[in-house]
Amino acid sequence: MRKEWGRFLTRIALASGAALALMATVPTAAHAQAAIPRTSWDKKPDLNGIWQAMNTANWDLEDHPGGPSPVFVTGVWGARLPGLSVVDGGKIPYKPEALAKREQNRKNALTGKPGRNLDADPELNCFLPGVPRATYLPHPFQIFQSPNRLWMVYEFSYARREIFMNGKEEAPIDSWMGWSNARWDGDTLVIEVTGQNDQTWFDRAGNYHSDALKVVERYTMIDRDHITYEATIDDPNVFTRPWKITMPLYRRIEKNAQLLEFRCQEYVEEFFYGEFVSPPRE
Amino acid sequence: MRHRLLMLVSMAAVALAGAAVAGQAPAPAPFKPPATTYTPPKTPWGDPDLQGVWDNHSNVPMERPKNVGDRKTYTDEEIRARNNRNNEPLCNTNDERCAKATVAELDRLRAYNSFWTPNDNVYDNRTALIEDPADGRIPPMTPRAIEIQRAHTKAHPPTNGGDNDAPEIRHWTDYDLAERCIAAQVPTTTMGYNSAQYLMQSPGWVMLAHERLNTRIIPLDGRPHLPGTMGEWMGSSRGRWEGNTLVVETQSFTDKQSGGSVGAFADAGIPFTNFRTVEYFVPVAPNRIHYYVTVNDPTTWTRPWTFMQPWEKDRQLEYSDNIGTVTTEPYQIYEYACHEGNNTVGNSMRGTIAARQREANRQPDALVTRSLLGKSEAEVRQMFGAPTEIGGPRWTYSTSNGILLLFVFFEDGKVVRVRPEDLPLTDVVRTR
Repeated sequence: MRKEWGRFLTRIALASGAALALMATVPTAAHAQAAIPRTSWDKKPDLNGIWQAMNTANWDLEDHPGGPSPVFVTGVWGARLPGLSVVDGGKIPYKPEALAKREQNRKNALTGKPGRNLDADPELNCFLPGVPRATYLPHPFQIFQSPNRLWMVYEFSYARREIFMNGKEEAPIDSWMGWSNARWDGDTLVIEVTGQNDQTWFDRAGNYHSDALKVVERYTMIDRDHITYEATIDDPNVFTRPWKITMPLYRRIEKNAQLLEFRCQEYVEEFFYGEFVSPPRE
Repeated sequence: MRHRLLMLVSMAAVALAGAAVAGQAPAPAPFKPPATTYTPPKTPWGDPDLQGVWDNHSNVPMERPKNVGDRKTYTDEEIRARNNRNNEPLCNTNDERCAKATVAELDRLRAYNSFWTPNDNVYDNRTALIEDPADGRIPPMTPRAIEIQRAHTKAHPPTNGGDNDAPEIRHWTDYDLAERCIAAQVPTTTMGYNSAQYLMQSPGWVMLAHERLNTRIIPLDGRPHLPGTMGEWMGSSRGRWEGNTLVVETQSFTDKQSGGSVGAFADAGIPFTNFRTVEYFVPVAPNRIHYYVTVNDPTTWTRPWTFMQPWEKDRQLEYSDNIGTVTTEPYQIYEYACHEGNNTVGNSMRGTIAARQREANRQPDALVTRSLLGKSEAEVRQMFGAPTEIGGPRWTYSTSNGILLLFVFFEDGKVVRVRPEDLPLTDVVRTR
């Protein structure tokens, strides 16, 4: 009886899941066919444009309620914005010892002292953000696409990536933004990112990775002005299994949309070096 | 109506008379790059296709050296001689200083710079980068600009002299914008090393990814420049195609931007506030662009001026390992990540604090390493024993557990330089 009941429930769940999936996918697919822009040269989706995530994943990939600013003097200017998890399934599958490290990162994220602080959130130091964090920093980024060439430039610190279409070469050396090889899977641009160093974090909440990180990004246009962005994160040193984040990216449709200078190197100079200033000689 | 017209005419006459009285030459005609017959391939959307990695390594000076007179080009023999001079003994940081350097000084310059500075330059047989004015010299500066530059140089003595006598770094702004990892100058000339850029195009846009520091995004849709209140380190660039030439106009630089630094076409202390530059990317052959830059700023120079640098595309670079195997690879733009590894600024400032403390505790010259100046090799040996290492003119002394203590430089058998100069002699003896 119980077993029967369980099977019945499963059937309902499956049926409603399928119905939901239909509701979700059918109109989107039809829409996509009609509306996505395509390149003149290979009829692939034309990703050219300025894009931005509109979420609070940079605060924390997982669920996070709103909260006061970690620095009280900044009042509500610095308040933490609430947001739901962008991680499929909600939680990041940390290994137990790695979770402890995440908690430690969280404590150190906002250093209480001036200077280059390598225990703090790298964003605090204006270090290059790595992938996928570059995508959901609260800044726009621009995709440049032409036959067999692809670049992404991010407003934050002018971080940038050359993306090798059908690239086979491996990363010659680790770097902050990694090494990106891309291919088309139907209408989805798939980018494999390897060779990232272990210095970047995923968010301000201390979520992190090792240098064994491999990220597979998928960019799927769902209409003229929206991309579904997925990133699968695999790092056996830190996580028990690969996991995925999903979020929409929005086209910046203002007529004068453009990346503006955010040279944050300049904004941390007082913070880094303020304590070392010498007075002028008498 | 008639009255107003008359007024305008008379005002023009006064203006003309004024010019004549002041004896000013008529304004030169605006620079236009020479015509070319080469037609580059087109992108699918119809723009000339200039995409790829463009190398602009060069050892051609901005201004024509006085000793070549009005010659515009070198012969091939002269270029070979120049390149040989650059290779052996290697010194290509600054022509004038290299020309005067002793062998010991060359060795010191070479120790740092030879690794970084490639001699594999884009072919250019000209004696100067400047094309206009015809004398190959930067036009005279205005009195106002000279005054500003003098004040700047006084406040920020040059830090990048390539020797050990750099001035104190009290504040991060004593370093230029590139040393602070913020940006290089725009427009950009040769950067010394890693001097190449990826030119990327998409419909309506050009993006220039310089290997070092700068990423320039240039819209081609005729939108207005950013206003001066939005001044940026790289200025606001707007581009258009004139035939096969990409023309980019840039203005609205931040008033914090001033000359000097890597890739600099303007000297340190010249503010960019009123700069308006026009760049012409002229494709002249499948792998060659002639890149012209006209600099306009009547508040700084008495007339506009133009320089040109050849760019070469998709170069094959030769690498030889230490057993002499040569491999060839296409030029690849790599991540530069300048700020992330920048310990220079903080360490220099801390060094100033330490140096001032040492100065406060200064001992008499006779008791510190400064007293070694002028001593012979035998005398130094007698005081400290055999050096830990001898590298050319430089003797190195380390502590018994391997910590670097002291460099002593000899020329003609006598000590000409010692670093540090204020280490107590007893400390050297005690820790050896």
